[in-house]
Amino acid sequence: MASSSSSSKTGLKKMLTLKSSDGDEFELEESIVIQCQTIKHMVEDGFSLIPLQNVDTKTLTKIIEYMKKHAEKTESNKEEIKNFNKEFVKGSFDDQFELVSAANYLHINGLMDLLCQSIADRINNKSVRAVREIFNISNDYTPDEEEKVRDEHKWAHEGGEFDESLD
Amino acid sequence: MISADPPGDEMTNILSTLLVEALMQFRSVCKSWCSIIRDPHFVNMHMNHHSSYKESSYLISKDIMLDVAEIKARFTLYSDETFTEHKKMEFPLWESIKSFEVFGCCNVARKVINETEYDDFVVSFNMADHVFEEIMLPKSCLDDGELTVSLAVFRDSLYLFVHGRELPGWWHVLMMGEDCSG
Repeated sequence: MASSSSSSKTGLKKMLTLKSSDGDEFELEESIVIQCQTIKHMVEDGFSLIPLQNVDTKTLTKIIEYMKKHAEKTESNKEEIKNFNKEFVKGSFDDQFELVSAANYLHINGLMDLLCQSIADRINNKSVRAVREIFNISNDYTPDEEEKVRDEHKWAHEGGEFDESLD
Repeated sequence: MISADPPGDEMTNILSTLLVEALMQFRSVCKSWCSIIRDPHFVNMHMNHHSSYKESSYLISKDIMLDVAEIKARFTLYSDETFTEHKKMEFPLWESIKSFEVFGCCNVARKVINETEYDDFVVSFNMADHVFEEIMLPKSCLDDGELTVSLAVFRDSLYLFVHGRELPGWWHVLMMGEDCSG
């Protein structure tokens, strides 16, 4: 396995295979895949078949789509990339969370920033109740404790209209 | 689905991109969110994300508003680069006529303000959420009229130096905890 890292000198584009947790394999050029720090390190260690036990096929397909597009990035297609990013973050919260976890695991910094920012933009104006639903968090405060925390920052709770929707 | 407990990197990353107003509100989502949001490292991370709160980027002036009915102390934060007014605020903690001075800033977020003369507490002000907090100083050293006290901020701690007839001693007061040590 260790011998494959020097084969790129033959002129052929070096290909790598990513294997999802569902067992599906995706063959990609090394130049695309090395945007991902975790894989880059594995490639440097001589791997050419990369098993990703934490990433399912659906999520991996999206991530590959992102990496392919961003590998094309030049000075002249900034607008195109921007539009791509906008479309990319349109999925449901659950899809976004899957992607954030994968982006974090794979160390794709650009994708991580994009997703965190888009999730934050979507929840900035949400009510506490909606946020709990969206993140599937159960309220572990007693009513008294919650009241106390809210009292500390009354100004943050005043006057605003909060969005109760879950999308 | 991201697990909120224990909070992962992902959650911290998402929270650090939120607006301050949202963060303050979301302290009441659950205890683990609250502790992430209160964590000094998180506060730093959040400030780095939001360039409007750069380190030491404010000047403070005190304005006393004289009114027939009441005297109100306010202060104003100015940006130190442009001198534009950032925010006007009221002192929530003190009698208006007393004076104060700013001792410094630690944890990036926290400015320490002290009420001068004969008082046994200092006040910290958190730039991230605009919250004031009182820090009580060890009482015993201050009650003795023979001692003089000075304060300094260094790294992430507030130091209290006590000078007396005997050897000088010092306390340091941890900013984030309440402990005083001699």
